[in-house]
Amino acid sequence: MSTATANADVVRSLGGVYASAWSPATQQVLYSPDTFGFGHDLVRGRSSLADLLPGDLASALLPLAIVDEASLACAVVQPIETGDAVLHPGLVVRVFLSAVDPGHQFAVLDTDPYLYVASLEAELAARGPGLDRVLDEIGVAYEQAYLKPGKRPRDFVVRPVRIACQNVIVALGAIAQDSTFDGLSVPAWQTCEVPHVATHEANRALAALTLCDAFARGGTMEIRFDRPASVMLDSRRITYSGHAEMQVPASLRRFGRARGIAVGAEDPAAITPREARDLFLAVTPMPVDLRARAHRAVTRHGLRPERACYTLLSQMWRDIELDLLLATSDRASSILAGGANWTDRTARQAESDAARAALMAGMYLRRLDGRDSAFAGVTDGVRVVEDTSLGVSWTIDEETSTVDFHLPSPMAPPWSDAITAAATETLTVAPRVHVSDADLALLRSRNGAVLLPHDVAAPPYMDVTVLRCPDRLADLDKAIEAKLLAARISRA
Amino acid sequence: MPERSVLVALPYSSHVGMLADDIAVTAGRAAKSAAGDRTDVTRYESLCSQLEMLAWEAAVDGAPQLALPETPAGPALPVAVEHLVDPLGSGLLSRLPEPAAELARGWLADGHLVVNVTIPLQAGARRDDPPAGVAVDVAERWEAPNGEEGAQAVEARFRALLASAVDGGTGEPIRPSGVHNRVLAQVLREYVVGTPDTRVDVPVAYRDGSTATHPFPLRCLPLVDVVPDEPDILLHLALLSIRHTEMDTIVDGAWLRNAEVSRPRPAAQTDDLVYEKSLSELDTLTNSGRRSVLLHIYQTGLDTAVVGFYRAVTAHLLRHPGSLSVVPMFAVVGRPGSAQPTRFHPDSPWTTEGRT
Repeated sequence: MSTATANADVVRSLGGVYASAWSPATQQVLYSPDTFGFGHDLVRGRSSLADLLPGDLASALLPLAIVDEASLACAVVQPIETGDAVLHPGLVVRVFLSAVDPGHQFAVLDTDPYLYVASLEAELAARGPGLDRVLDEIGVAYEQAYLKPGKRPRDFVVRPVRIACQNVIVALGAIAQDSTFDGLSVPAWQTCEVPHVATHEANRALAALTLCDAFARGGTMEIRFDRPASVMLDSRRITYSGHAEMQVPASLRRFGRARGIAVGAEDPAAITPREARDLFLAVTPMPVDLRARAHRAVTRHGLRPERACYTLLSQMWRDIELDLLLATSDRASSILAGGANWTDRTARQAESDAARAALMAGMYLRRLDGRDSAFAGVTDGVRVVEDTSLGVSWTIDEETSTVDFHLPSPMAPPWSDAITAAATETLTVAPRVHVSDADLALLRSRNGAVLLPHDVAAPPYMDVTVLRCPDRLADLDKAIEAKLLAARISRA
Repeated sequence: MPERSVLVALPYSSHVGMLADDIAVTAGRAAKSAAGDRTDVTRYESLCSQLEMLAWEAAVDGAPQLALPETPAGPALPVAVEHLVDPLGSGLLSRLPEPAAELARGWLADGHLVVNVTIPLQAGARRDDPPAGVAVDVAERWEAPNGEEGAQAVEARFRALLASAVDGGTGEPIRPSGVHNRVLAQVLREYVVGTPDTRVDVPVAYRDGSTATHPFPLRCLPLVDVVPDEPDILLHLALLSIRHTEMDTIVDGAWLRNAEVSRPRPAAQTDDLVYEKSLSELDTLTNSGRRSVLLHIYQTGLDTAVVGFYRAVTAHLLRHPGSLSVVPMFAVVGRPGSAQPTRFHPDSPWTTEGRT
């Protein structure tokens, strides 16, 4: 698309925004030129941007709406380069008015100004009834029927969902398995943007939770927003005809557009199984290498993408663990599905060793990446216990089944039996139960280390660093058995 | 993603000999344990791990070993010992190529144990990467053809699955998960009606992805609506114990123990367990078809139990026509578990004429 065409589209879209009749709730957050007589004054909005941003950047953005007390939604009217990406005219981005990590500034909210405001209109119209539904009816009914008596709900029961970040609720929803179409029914879905949470994170989190539930219930993964649902509150049945919008919620469609995923395109009232697959992959955080390996496992080994996503989001296997399994074992699909039959010992041996290595690598990453805030010289002030990660990353060498840990600063490898182990920024680790001569030769050449269970003897004449996992082989196997059982019954 | 399998000749000692014996005994117990019971399986795997570690340490110390061209697959112990019977199959040596088996027999004759160690994380025999194109497609959406809602829609969906499986001959499984137990029993009965000539065996799959070992025979029985007036044995039984205790005053007992059936395991294993147990019990109860038995089964809503039980009833009636009549009893007033007294109503019986 040429710049002229793009600009014409932006102008047409903005014209639609200013010429349309919006509800008072939408008008309250909109910026518009003075002559249109609603919303906030656009000139003042632009001058606020000019005070905040360099001149060329400020002139490339047009304030569109208030997102929250610390950020604005702005339409891009001229191309903006943001390091590794270019924001094209027409995109709607979020501009934070206070200092934030540069990665969060100009996050894409939507792909078109008119679509953005129209989605706000639909979202705000449904917000009141939706909130009343979850907070005053579904939540209370669930508490009376299941939380207070300590009863476990069946899958067809309407179950409320609440997602909060630092004591601020960012998403509310309600879900129930519906056997009439063998999928998930969603009578409530409300999200919002707040200053301290990344853009669309509430949508991503609620979508992830909803998709995980759809997977765990074992249906077709179809998610419908137009199916009746009911709850019993104070012996009174309350019936809903579906979600307040009776279609895929506007905020979720907006999230889909921002991520380039079609949501509600095949059927406006549903996320179809195919759309659910794409959405599941989009909402599941995966490092680039892991995503590529998961794709290979899907196309070559018959791994269901939904299972890979569920495995990660439920933390059945963590990202480095899954990465190592997919990179080093042809049996990864079998492991993720619960493992081979115990009578096939050869298969189980191979699976066990791969799983033990994955588990040890995961434990070692957490040890490397965790900062002990009680120890790190902090003796006064508030002790922050959230996000104490150091930012350790990893790469896996498929040919040698080793993990390279990339440390932000030189560090002596923990769990080492060598007191004088040299500090390093890249640490090559071979998580093993059986150490071969080939492993030792490789580790010698790379100055790497072998990571062994606590009770497994190192080979004699060992001349490479040995890292000792605190868990014994039996402990690892017990943890693996629990993971395999969870995998076998996860879609019950 | 290399994977290597080696045979190791482990020098015999009383310790490794006892370990091998324990492995064989535990494998035998694990093979007999109830579906989903992992107690003996876990113990078996732990013992195997210990022996494999000893074998690997011996190999590193220079014990005789042989790299296998392929990883031996199939049920077997990972160890071969002179005079040790493998309870899982024909034994490790039978799965080896002849030259390797011959060498292993020599090691056994020399008083060694032969242990198979598979090492996935090092250079060795590499498996062929399968070609692309095996991606699992998404599930099909289903929509009620005549706009049915609620329970009617569930019934219509299950009926459509059965119709497609029986008439379409596609080999597609039926999926009973999430279907009400009354609908399951009633619709299955409709589709069981037929003659041995029209029989269609349909696989049964559950929403967790597991598939029952035994397919469901449909279109195979000339079911009738009349039950015997004076059966040799008449019993009123809850399908599952404990689930709805209000049934206790009207039943003579329970067909299945909830503690055995409701365990965390793949759904198909529960189906298999219920089917095999029920088939055996029905055979005992009818004295292999020589006694006439009438069962009133008060149903509860576990799909795997319902499908497994009625598959067993169907299989029994195929073997011993007329020896068994099962009358499903459904709650009609008050819901099980509610304060209202529950009343049960009989539904169409599962029975045939012509006791042999």
